[in-house]
Amino acid sequence: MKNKIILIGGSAGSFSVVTQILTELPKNFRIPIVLCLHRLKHVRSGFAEALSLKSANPVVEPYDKDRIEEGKIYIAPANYHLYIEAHKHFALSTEESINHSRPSIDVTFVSAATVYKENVIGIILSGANNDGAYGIKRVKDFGGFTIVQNPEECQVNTMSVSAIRIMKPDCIFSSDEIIKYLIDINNKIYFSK
Amino acid sequence: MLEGISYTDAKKLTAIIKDRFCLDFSNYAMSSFRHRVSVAISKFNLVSADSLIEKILNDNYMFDLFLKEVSVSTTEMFRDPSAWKYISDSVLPKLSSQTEKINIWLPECTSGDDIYTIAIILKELGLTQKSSITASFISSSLLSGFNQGYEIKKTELNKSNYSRFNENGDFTQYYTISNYKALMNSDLLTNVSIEKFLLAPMINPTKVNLIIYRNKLIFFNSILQFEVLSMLTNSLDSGGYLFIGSKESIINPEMRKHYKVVNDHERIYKRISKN
Repeated sequence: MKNKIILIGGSAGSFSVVTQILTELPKNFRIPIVLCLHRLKHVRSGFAEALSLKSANPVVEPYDKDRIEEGKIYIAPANYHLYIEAHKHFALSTEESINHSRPSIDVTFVSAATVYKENVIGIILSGANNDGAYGIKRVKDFGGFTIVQNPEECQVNTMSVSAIRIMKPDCIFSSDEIIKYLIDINNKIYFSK
Repeated sequence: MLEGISYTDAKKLTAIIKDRFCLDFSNYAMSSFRHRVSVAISKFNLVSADSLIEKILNDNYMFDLFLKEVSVSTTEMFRDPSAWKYISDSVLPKLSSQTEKINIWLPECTSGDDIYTIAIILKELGLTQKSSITASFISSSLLSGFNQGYEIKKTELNKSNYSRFNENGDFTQYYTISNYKALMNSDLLTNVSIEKFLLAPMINPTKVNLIIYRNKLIFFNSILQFEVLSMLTNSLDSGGYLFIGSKESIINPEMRKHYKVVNDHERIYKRISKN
């Protein structure tokens, strides 16, 4: 069970939710988290640092070929796609934008789904385009657990509505429910006797 | 299409290409390679990896187009302006004081972006005459396309990157607009020699002072990264610089020992003395 991974995708309106999630996750949170958020392509520094200040665990932008480690929170770097490769390491790419986005949430989710299969927990948050909808569908196809932030709570609901339109997520959650779910599953995997 | 072709198809394709064209893609980073191939299949209006194999085996032009598709050419001029600024402010002035002629090599070019970027920097430093640039392409279609002009949208991006590199400069002096495309001034290329390398073994330049090889290593697995870095290291003169992408690293310790980090954030390395 200790090979789960959490993927979180979002764009417009997701920053405050991500900040809330990272603020509330405890230091003993072990499941690796990969954040794929649409961000300004020319602003390379500051984002991971800003999130790190809120988080009990380190938030890092992976370098190409970095191994995915427990207890770490990764954020897709500006202006690169972030793939997850077989053997559970990251691979970066400067291929064309997908859904007008680089990083594209679909790229990260689809590649993670093919590697981690049923061990993916995929989460789609607030956002202004449909990137991520196909990705979370593939997470579900491969047996992963899927959560979409409640469109009524999203600041911009295009992304969550697009996802719900093409797949049936396991849960439609508020940000508080997402946090509770994550803490529970982490405790169940790592700390239950 | 996002999934890419299957691992089995990728294996079959790379084996056939290696056998027929002596080009080895088997150590490419598989996620992006499998995706690139499926993009090529769809662009060529084909239906499967098998139909692609049949096509490239029977048509050299299609194989060249295939090389173009699997080579990622979606970069931009002055990508990561602060990195180029470091090259301009620190690396080139140092090289200029140390050597008669600054030899610069851009292996495996997939576009003109980095060529024009370094050419503009050299021009602004007054070092065009004092330097010589070798740009190597792996595909004829990429080579013949690199100076055919940039779409306006791409030009705007290049321009905004440039303004972060040099806020007082005027990027528009480096091109003219014709037929909705920005044609870069040909005088930027006076010290550039363009070459096509296709088949191994390549004959590489030697005594190079600066290798610009940005966002190429990410498309290789660690085995191929090691091979390519060995080759680049052999081409670099003592004290020469290796400039890679901002998220790339020299991972292998064997390779690492040849280099000193001069700017970690911008991934600029210096070859330490040979022997």
